[in-house]
Amino acid sequence: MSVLDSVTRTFVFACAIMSGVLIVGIAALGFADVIGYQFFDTGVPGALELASKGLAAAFFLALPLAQYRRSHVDVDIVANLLPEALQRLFGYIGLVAALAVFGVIGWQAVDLVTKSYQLSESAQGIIPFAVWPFKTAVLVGAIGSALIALMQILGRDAL
Amino acid sequence: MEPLSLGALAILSVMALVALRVPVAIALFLVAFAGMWVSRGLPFALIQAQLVPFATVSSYTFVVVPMFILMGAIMSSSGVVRELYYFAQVSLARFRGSLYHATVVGSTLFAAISGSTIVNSAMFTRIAMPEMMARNYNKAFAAGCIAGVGTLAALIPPSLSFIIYGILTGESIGRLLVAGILPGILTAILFMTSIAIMLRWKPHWAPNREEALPIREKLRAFAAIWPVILLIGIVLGGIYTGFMPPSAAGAVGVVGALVIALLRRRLSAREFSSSVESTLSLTASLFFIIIGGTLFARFLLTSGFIGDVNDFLEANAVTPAMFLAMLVALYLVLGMFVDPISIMVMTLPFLFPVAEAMGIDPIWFGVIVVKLVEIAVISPPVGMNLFAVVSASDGQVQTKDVFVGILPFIVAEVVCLALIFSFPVIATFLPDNMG
Repeated sequence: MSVLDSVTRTFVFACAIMSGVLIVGIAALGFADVIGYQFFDTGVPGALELASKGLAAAFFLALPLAQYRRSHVDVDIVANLLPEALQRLFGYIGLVAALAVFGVIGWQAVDLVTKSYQLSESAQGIIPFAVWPFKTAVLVGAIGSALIALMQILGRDAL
Repeated sequence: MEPLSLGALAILSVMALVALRVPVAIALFLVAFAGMWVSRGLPFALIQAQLVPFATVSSYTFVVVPMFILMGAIMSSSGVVRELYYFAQVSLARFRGSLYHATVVGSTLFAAISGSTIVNSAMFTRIAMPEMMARNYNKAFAAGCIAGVGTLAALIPPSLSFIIYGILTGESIGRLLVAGILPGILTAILFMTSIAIMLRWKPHWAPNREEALPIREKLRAFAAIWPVILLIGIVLGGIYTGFMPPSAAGAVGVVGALVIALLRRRLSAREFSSSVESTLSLTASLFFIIIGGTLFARFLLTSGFIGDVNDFLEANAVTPAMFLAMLVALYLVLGMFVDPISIMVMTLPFLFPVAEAMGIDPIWFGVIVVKLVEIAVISPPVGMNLFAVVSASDGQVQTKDVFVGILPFIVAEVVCLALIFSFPVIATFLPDNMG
C-alpha cells in the first residue's frame, strides 16, 4: 500500500470515527431530552440545535467514507449491458462529475466557514454556540471527497 | 429558453446521467447547478451551492433518518430477526404452508424495526429460504414470497420511504409514518390470502404440515422477542400519541435497541462499530441524494417550470384521475430501473406541487407513491428486491425462479393499491385520529 493510500485511509477513518461519535452522541442527547421532558419537566438545554448542527457535521464527515467505498447510489442496469470498456468510460464520467460537484461545494464552503467565523454566527436557542466549527465539516468532507474522487480517477479505479 | 423546455431538458438530463451510471445525487446536483446558471446566472447558482447543502441537512427533522437506520442495524446484528421468524413459525405451525405465512408475519414484525426493503428481503432470504427448502417447499414461490414481503418495510414504520417523502414535501413525518400502518397490515393480510389461495390450487407447493408445538414452546419463543415488541410499541406508540416527535422516538429506539442487545449479550464492540459504520454510509448516500433533490427542486421552482406545468395541466383540463394514471405509469416504468428513494427524489420536486395544486390529499398521495415504488421494486424484469433475493441466496435461487414466484404477490399488491385508491380512508384514518 502506498503512502498516499495509507494517508487517505487514515483520513477517511478519522472522519468516520468523528461522524460516528456525533451520531451516537445525537442518539444519547435525544434520549436524555425525552427522559428529561417526561420525568423532570425540562429537556436538555439546546438539545435540538446541537442535534441538528451535529447531524449536518456528521453527514459531511461521513461523505469521504461514502466516496472511498463508492457507496453513493447509482443505477448500473444500463451500464451492465455494455462492454467493459464502455462501463469503464461511464465509471470515469461518474468520477469526473463527482469531482466537479464536490469541488464546487468545497470551494463555496471556504466562503461559508469564513463568513460564519467573521460574523461570529451562533445557533439560536437556549444555549447559543458557535456554528463555524460545524460548518468546517462541510469544507473537510467536500474537499476530502473531491480529493478521493481525483485519486480514484488517477488510480484508474473507474469500476 | 422557455421554463417548460428548460425544466423538461433538465429532467431528461438527470435521467441520461443516471443511465450513464453517474451517482443519482451527483446527477441531480450537477444538472440543478447548470440549470440555475443558465436560468438565473452563475452568482445565483454558486450561492445556492454554498447555502443549500448545510442548510438542508442541519434540520432536526433529519435526525430521524440515521436514528432509525442505526436502530435497525443494531437489532439486526443482535440476531433478533431469526427469533422473530421462529416466533412466527411456531405460532402459525397449524396452517398449511406455515413457513410462507411465517415469512409474511416475521417480515412484518422486522419491518417495524428496519425501514429498508432490500435489507428485509436479504435477511429473510438467508433465514427463511434454507428452512423452506429443507421442507421441500416450492422454490420459486418461496423466493417470490420473500421478495414480496420485503416491501412491507416501505410501508410499516419506521419506513425510510415515508421519511424521505416527508422531508421532500414538508409533510409531517409522524403522520406519514402512522399512515403506513393500515396499508402495511392490509398488504400482509392480502399476501397471506394469496398464499392460501395458491396452496389450495397447488397443495404440493407445501407438501407437509408442520407439527403443532406445545404452548410452552410458543411462550418460550415469545419470551425471546417480547423486549423487541415492547420497543416497537414504545417507538410507534410514542409517535402516534404525540408523546415524542419521530426524531426523539428514533433516539429512544437506538438506546432501547442497544440496551436489549447488550442485555442479551448479542452485541460485540466490533458488531456495534459495524452497525454505526453501515449507518454512516447509508445516511451519507441518502442525505446527499436529498441535497441534490432539494437543489433540483429549487431550480425547477426558480426557473418557473413548476408554474408553467400547472398552467399547462390546467389549460389541457388534466383531471386528478388522469394525473394519477400518468403517475402510476411513470413510477412502474422508472421503478424497474431506479431504486425507490432515488425515484422519489427525482420526481417529487415536480409531481408533488402539481398534486397539491389539484387538491389531492398529501398524506394519501404519499401512501400511493410509496405503494407504487413498492410494486415497482418487485416487478420483473429488473425489480431490485428480486435481485436482492437472488444475490442473498448464494446460488440457491435463480432469476427465473423469483420472476415466476413473485406474480401472485404482485396481484396482491395491485389489489391493495386498488383498495387504497377506492377507500382513501385506509391511509388517512390513523393520521386523522392521532394525538
